[in-house]
Amino acid sequence: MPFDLNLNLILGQMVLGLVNGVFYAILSLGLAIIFGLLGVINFAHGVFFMLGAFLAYMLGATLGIGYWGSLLIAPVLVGLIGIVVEVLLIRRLYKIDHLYGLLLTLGLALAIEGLIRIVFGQQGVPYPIPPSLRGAVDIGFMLLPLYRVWVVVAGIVLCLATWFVIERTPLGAKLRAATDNPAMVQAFGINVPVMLTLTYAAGVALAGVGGVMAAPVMTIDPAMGTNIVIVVFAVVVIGGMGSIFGSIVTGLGLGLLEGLAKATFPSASSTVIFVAMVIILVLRPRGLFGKMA
Amino acid sequence: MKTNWLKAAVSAIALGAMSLPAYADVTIGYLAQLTGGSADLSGESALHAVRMAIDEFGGKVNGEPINVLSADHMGKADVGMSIAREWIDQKGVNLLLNVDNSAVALAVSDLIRDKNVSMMMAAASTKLINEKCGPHQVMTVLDTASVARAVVLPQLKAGGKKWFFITVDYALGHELQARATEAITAAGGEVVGGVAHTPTTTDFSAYLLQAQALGATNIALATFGSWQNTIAKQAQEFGVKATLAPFYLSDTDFKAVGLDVFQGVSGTILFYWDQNDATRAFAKRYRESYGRPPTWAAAGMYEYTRHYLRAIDAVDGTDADKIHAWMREHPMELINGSTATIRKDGVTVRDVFSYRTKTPAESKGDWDYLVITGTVPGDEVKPDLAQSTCPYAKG
Repeated sequence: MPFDLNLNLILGQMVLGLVNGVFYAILSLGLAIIFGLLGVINFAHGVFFMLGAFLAYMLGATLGIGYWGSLLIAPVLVGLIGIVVEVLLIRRLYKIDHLYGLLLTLGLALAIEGLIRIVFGQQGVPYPIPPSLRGAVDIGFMLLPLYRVWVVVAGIVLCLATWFVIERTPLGAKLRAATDNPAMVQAFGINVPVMLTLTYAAGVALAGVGGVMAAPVMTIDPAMGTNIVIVVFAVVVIGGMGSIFGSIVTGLGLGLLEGLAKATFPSASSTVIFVAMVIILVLRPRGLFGKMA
Repeated sequence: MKTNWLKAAVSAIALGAMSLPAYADVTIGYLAQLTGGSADLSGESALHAVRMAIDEFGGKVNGEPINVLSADHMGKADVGMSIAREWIDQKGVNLLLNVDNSAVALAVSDLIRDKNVSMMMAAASTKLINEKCGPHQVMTVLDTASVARAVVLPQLKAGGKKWFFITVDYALGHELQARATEAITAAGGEVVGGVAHTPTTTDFSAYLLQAQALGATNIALATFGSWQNTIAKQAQEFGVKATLAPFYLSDTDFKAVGLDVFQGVSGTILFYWDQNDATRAFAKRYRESYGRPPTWAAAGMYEYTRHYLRAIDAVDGTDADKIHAWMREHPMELINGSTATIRKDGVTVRDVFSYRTKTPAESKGDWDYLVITGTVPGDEVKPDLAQSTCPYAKG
């Protein structure tokens, strides 16, 4: 059924694409922050997404904390893990080639994923949709589950808020300055190493938020992060490495593109993002929103 | 558990120390997917069942120790082949067990065809019982055509006429889809569409929406593990009305996503731990050392290991021709008290059981998931021997 052009179906697929796009945007945003400000290609990003989902499950299973509580607590815990990782490992790599950061975080990702697999098994754990977000809304051409509406709204608000903090507040300005010229910023009395640690923590905490938001709709299993992070890296490359705004727009846009592909030619849907990546890299090697050197 | 490991270690050392044992040791090479999609269903848990069968047999056969080696083929034919080759050439493996991947089993099949080595494989490709059958080769699961018939026919009888496929983009998925499509069209049903998903797919809602748009009454899940579970979860989220038809649902899947996600699902299964007193007694023994009841895959590994050891004991040696002749001539005793027979093409003719999922109210908790509703006789499910292209099946 490759070319079944049914308008309702196309619109429906694009809405679902937008939902996926929100997850891409949240994840690529964190990656862009970490790369843009720390120069680390964080291959462990998907693992922090997965940890967010597993922590939500554990908080529920052991302490009876529901979705809303987990949405606050799990990202904080993910951020704390991020701090430990940054202080013990990542910090040592800022001055050397980006490639070492990539290798370290890739190894870390494999190790953490393996650990979760040993503890929870391959098939993962269940997580229900919170009672307050069950049901669906009729948006004319499809019944959209309420939870997905929430994901879109909350996800976009979260992305814009993060962008605002980094690009439009004094804190963001200090951060950007600290990565540009750490010695100078340090001279102004700002503790640069702490700032970088917190940036890494915030970046991975964003992935943690994404993980909690994904928990009710995706299967929580050890490979969930690895599966999505490959697409997310493509998003970051297309958006332009390190571009905050670019990663948000590209994440949403590629979600839509993927949805469109699913409606018109499903077999191409898994590769359309990578085809887009190749084309963009050839035409604009620094990505759609990347700064020209 | 500890003592088993110790025994295995001791016997492994003994194997290395003795250059010429009087009777040949028996070495079972457990080659399985220990990580990845099917690892919870089978993997380590089925290896545990193999060790149980050996322990209950006394740990020795013909006075010689039974050794177990295990390795992960990772679902890759080349990895599986190099392990199998090393085991056969250097470790004197007599039996390759599990081999739960068709690509791996097909590769290993060529390797062992003319050797004094057996393979009991939980791989379902119909090729393995036709042109790629072997004299020392037994299929421990239903082949894809039988699975397809067993799952699809009851739903067709219940009125499901318009089918949509969500298929894992593996050889297994495509073969399942092809066989199920044959069964559906032969019974007057219609296939309205289908999609192949990649192993990294995490969102299936788009496919479910497509199935709905095409008016599907039944959605065949020619996939397994977390993919199948995500599909069920998202079908529930989107209020999909079509009946789901999972091909490989197991206890571990209910545990992973919760019983409520699989409400109103029916299908067929080879073994369920709570079927009768005999299965419950086995499940109790298994659970004491493994912490959860056995899946159908683990139960199968137990049954085949036991049958194989009995054959070695009976023929007084490790001649694969004699072992397989004995295994075919003698009915295989099953955990549930019934028996199965092994044919010359490697097919096991055995009853399968139809089930429906319990409602969350009916379920007494973890692992209490299914109601067995009936028996489909093995003769109805088995592939037709007259149509087999297996050269060893003739005469």
